[in-house]
Amino acid sequence: MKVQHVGLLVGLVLGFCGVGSTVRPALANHAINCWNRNNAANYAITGRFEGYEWGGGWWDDNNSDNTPGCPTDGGSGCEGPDCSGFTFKSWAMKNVFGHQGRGYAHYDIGNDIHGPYTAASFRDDCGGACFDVCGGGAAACGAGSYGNTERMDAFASGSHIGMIWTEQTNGFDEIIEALNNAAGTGIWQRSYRTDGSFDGVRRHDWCP
Amino acid sequence: MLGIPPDRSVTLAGIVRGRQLYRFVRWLLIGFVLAIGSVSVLGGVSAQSTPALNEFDPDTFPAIDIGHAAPVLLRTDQTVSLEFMFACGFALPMDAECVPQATLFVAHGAKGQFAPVKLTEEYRDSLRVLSARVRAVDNRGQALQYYLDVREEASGVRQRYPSTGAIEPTVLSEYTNVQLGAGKETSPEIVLRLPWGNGPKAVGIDQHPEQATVSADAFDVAPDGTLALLDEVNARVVVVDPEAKTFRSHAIPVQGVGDVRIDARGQVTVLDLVGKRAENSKARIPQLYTVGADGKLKTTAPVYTLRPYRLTDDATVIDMVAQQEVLALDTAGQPRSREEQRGSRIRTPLLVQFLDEHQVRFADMRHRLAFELRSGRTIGPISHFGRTANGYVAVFERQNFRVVWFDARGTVLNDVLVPNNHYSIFNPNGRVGVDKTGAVYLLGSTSNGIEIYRVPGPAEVQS
Repeated sequence: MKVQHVGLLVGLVLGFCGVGSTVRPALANHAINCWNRNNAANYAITGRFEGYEWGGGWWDDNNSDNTPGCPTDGGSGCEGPDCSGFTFKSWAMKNVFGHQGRGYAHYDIGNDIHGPYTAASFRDDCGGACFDVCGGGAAACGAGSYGNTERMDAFASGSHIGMIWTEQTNGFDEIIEALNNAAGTGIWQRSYRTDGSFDGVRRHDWCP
Repeated sequence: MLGIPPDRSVTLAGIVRGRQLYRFVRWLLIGFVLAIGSVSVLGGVSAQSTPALNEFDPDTFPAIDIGHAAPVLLRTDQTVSLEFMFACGFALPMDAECVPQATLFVAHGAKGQFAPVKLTEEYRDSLRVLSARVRAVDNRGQALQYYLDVREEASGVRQRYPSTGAIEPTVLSEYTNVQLGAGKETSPEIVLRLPWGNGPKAVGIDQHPEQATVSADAFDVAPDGTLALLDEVNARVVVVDPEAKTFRSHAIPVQGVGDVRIDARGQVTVLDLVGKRAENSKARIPQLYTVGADGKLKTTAPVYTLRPYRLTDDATVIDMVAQQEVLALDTAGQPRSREEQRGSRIRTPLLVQFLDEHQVRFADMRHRLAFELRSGRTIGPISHFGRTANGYVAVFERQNFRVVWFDARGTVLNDVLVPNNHYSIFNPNGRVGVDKTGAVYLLGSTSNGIEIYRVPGPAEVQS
């Protein structure tokens, strides 16, 4: 091997490693030891003002949908998470369904990863990786459940999921959610807490 | 002389010799620069596009988002817990955690001096919360006001919450008691039913797997019963006369979340909560549109406030943080500048405070009346509170709607339970309208389309 090649190779490695260590989120997906609700909130807010894409999983935090009007066909590579992909990445769940997937994994916001969960599977306890935080089976959490939930818990139905941002003084919740192609991802007031088609869910093992 | 080709293979010994070392370092530097460049371009998705601090907007999208449910209605004998949570929208070096510090400044009375109050830090199931308990009034009976000074050392971010002024809960010594019974189930009249579609007498629906089912998000009723429906999927407002015979459609560039008002002259105002990108920042700014009775778009105005969430009956925007009305338009109906909007804020006179599933508070500060409603049967979040000719009406959203009319003395005039049909999702603050008779209109949806229900007011029921 010529000396130029070795020099170039070493330079490339140093360059990639050097840059990769100074950005947030990390460029590579990787297992992590810990993820708490504050990490999840800091991560999720990077999705605000971004697009929505069914089956999608990446966004870039430039507060704009780079691919507006992109067909909602899943797997098209358009920008924006869907509701379940947004929750999966914000919760830093392992990319393995169910109980085996408990633990933590960090995903770059720019990596197009959706994860193994649908809104319905979140509602149904993620196969063991999350749980019904309000109890009562499939019933709505209800207006008396504010003591049961915290920021970054979620409300999930058979087709949609959004995470609690702030409980409000009129009794509704601000929800951070990937809504649809037109509205994209944002924070809006919702009544999911008292809606019988939604159930309250919590990730297992928030790290202290 | 037969030359022997020089050995150009790389060895450590070779590298440390003069010219090879020079070549090695030169190509190492080229590789390093190439790597940084390629990461910037290809990996720029995450590395370069994270908003710079100057791309945030102090009024609508601050660098640190502060989660806080500001108390609205307090009692003079009350001590209240103020809680604050934080989310950082900017990048920090890998492994650096954003942990903002904050100082709470509290004063009592309009002329009171703001003084710092110690915040207690706690972690609730890993969620960092800063909180302080403060008295609603001081020893002189002066009411609480406060703001937060927030700092993040690593980034140098420093901001104030709210961006201007202070949060001033309304503190009252007396609330008129309103005791609710069980409520009576009723089947309301359906005054409008529109199928899903994009025709003139239809309403759009956006329905796919893994997203909320979105359709008309909000509506309103004029004093004479004319209806205005915010049909976001078709980017329009549909105006329907009280007999549901004539349909007018006004194009508005709304995008999925909003609120709408129609006044007695037929003027329509729309609040678009998704908003547009601002010119000098990366934030999306909510927009206010007005459409004349002739159907022409009259005004488009940005709304510079942190958490707009609904329109008042007078079609001004209310911000959730301090329950302030933000006047985006001047008296001539023209857009106000950001600075003018900051200076124009006033406390909205009709105030609501959800306490728990059995107790809520209301106040009408124009008439200096306040109420505390109690119910043995669950009540839900507050969808609406407003004045009627005979008193007040409040609507609560639960698995049913609960509609309660009461008078100024706290006497319950009627208390009914109405089905809450919600095939699609709504802006929960946009589902109720009240006409001049005090009848309540409710927006619902089924698998077939949109429905608007009418529940007669107490006077109509008695007659």
